[in-house]
Amino acid sequence: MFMPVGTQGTVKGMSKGTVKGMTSQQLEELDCHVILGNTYHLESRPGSDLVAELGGLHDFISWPRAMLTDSGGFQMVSLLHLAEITEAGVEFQSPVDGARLLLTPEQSMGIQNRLGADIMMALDDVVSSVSTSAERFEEATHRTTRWIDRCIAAHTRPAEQNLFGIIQGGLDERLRAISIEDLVARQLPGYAIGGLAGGEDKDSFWRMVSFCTARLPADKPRYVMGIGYPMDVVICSALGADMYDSVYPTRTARFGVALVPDGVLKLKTAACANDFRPIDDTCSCMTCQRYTRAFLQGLVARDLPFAAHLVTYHNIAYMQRLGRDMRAAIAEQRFPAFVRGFVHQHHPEGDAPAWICRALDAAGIPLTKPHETAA
Amino acid sequence: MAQSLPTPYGLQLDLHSFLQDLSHSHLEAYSAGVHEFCGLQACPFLALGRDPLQAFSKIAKGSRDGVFTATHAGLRLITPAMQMEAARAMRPDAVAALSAEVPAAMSGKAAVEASKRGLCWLDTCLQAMAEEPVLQGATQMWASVQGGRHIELRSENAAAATSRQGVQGVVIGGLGTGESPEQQREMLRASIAAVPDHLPRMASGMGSSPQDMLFAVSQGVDLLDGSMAIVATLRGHALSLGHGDCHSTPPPVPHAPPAGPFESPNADGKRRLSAASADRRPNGSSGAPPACSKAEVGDNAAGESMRGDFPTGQTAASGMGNPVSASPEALANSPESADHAQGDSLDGQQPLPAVNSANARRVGSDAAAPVPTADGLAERHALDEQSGLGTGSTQGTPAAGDLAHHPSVSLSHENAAHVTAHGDGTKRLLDEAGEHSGHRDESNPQLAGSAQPASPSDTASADKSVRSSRGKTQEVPAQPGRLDSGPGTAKKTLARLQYGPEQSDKDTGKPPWVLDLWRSVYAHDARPLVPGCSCYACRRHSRAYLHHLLQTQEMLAQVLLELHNTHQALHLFSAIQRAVRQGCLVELQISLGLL
Repeated sequence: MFMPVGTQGTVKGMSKGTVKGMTSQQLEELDCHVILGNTYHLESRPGSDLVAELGGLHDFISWPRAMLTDSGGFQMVSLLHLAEITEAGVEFQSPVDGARLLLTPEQSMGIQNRLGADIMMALDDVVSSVSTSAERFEEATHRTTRWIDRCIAAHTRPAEQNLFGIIQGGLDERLRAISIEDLVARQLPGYAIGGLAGGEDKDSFWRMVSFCTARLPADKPRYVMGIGYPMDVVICSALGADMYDSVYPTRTARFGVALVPDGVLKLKTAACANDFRPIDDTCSCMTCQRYTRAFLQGLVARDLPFAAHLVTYHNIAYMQRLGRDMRAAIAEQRFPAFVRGFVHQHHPEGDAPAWICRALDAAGIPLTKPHETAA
Repeated sequence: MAQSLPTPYGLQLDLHSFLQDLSHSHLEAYSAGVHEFCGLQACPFLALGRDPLQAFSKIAKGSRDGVFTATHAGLRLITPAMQMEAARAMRPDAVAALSAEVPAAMSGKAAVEASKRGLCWLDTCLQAMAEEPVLQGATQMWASVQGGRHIELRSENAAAATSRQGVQGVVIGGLGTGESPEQQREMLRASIAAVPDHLPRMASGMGSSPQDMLFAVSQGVDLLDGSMAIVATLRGHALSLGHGDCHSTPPPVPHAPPAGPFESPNADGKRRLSAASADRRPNGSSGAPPACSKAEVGDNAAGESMRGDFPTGQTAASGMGNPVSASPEALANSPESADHAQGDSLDGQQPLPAVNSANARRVGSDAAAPVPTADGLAERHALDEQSGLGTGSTQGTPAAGDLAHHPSVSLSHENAAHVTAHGDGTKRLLDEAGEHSGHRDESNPQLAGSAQPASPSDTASADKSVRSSRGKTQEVPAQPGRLDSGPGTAKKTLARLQYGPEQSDKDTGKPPWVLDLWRSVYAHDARPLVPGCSCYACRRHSRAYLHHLLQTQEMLAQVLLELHNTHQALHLFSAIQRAVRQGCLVELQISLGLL
């Protein structure tokens, strides 16, 4: 299902059965191949039983390609005030009626089995990367391993759905190594690097990604969860990761911010009001073919949903194009030049932040070399 | 012979909102006109000064020099000169001369003043138009008819406005500003009566139910604003305007009339509007689904169930001794074929079914609902709240989800009254039909409800004409997904309407015209919104999914519903066009359960 080497591309986020306003036909047009569904939201509404009754998530949202569901654990921990992780599972208070509920690995598997996505995520014990408790990280690392076994045991459709494990360990190399070893021993179809993208400093971030990708099997996809800034995607790809998911491209679109080759374009500005160029004249998406910045500025200034729709469309197109461009560069053996060119477009003065320079050094694409633009 | 006309829609542009933040200088700098700017080259644009989705209390107020419109920075005065500058920059297909909406409550004296001002502004705009070569041939000037609730003033205003040289169309303004349904009908009639036949008429701010639309069409309105689809969308409702295709079940005629105008509509009568934009539009293009507000159908709270009591009896028409075709049985038996549509045989002349007032379930008011701008689902709740209050005692719409009744039957009631008031109802209707069937070009092939091309011989054959309406017609290829249009359709339709699966109103057993997808009954319903509908939403999605999207307040709900509701509304208008062309508007109303 995945290319063994290279970048699968971003996995779009779909929290409640929709990628914010996009129809499934549009997502197909945009060349999306995997979209992500949030188990927590889908279970609360409309409920995995109903989805199963209606034929599974693919049919429910009319999406003929691949889908990935997360375990539900992360949302609970991040969204609910009184969520508490115990050995049994994630205890939380139902937002509906205040009852105490428990999400166990078995339940998470059950829900995801009913939803029927192609890729399922194991329930992991995730600790915020800015936490300061070493014991907590230690506990989480080992518990994640115990839970993966429970997940594997509870997974009723291994022939149809791929269960990915999630590497934990915070910013501690020792713990990460343990987690990797444990999970790889289970020979899972794919591995996610979790517990990052949570506010840690960039250097810690890229070091952990690099550490993990160096030790994960080369023939399995590596999925860095929660990454969505184009620069981060490129850097992580250079470091050996394949898959990413994020709400960033679609969320920033709703704020009137478009992704462009040299960074972002804020459409709400007065400057755009008289700018009759498209968002990106190298982009062939419907939005850029038909509409000008001036038109969009008018919509964005008035918070009209149509603006969100158009800019979302473009931003997804942008991310998909980024993925395609990276894959092409890899296939054509010119990835380093591509990366340098990308960084240069974002930082034309040659002033790329230090963490990028260090990360790319480690990736074998030093920036100190006179940059070459992508072929 | 089937005539094919382009899709019956255009886009209605709220000129004032264009002038609020975007100054026209942007568009002048752009220089390619509004069609290009919006990426909708094939679509006609009508620039009016009123957003039909706005609460009437927000309607721009006039002063001596112009009309006030609200901007971020406070009120801004728009003068005729500014309006014309904007028109020059935008080059829409038609622009309405600057006019302040005169609300129903305005006193006679003030209304007279406002009226005079309006005529003054009209003259200014016409003058500017005459001096503006870039507009001539590209943009039409339409006049706005105001007068509030003062009937005579409206007639005068209409006569005066349309007597101006250069006026190429009429917008009936001031509707949906607090008047009662009865008042609205009078206001509409008075405004239209004085308008010469050859001018297209638009009515904005009327109700948004099919009943209102058909009433307007039957009175001679050619274009209606398109809020019905949007209002339904905002409420989370799916329109279900399935109707029999009456063209396929023309009524039997005891005395076959001579082949009438329906056979060969006057193809020369291309409306100037269409000619003007012909260079922009490929032939008969149907264009992309409109993204902005649409000028298609009337506006009103679409959350109501569409019909009052189903008229059982058949039409008093039978009593007229005229083609009994109005009766469902007759319809059911009639041979079908679009090609021999002899709609003219139809009983335009028959009085509409006499409906006793017991049948007429009226809702308090069905004047145009004060609805917020189409800005997303968040508006839905505001809409619901507003709908409960009404900004005037006579205003207000039934609460969303409340399958409130619509005075569907009041339509016929009214017409019946109208008819009988003139003694010989038949004759009166004939005369009207005759008048309206005067030469009217294919008004704006893209704009809904415009008159069909009718030849002068129409008048002669008016006695068979059902065209008390000038509605535009369009021959559309049989739509596979629509209600079957074989013989007996009307009968089946009627039957289904009575015993359909969508019974949400158990008392009457009448199926609704809208499905309130918020209702939990749809949570497990895997069927498409309207089985048989060929829109994107119905082809790919289910009621359960839409219900879920609404519950989770996802934007996609609005996207899909708008696709569906627009599709439905367009189909309805195509049917109206066809019905008028073939003279079976009454059948259509019956099959829709509006009579």
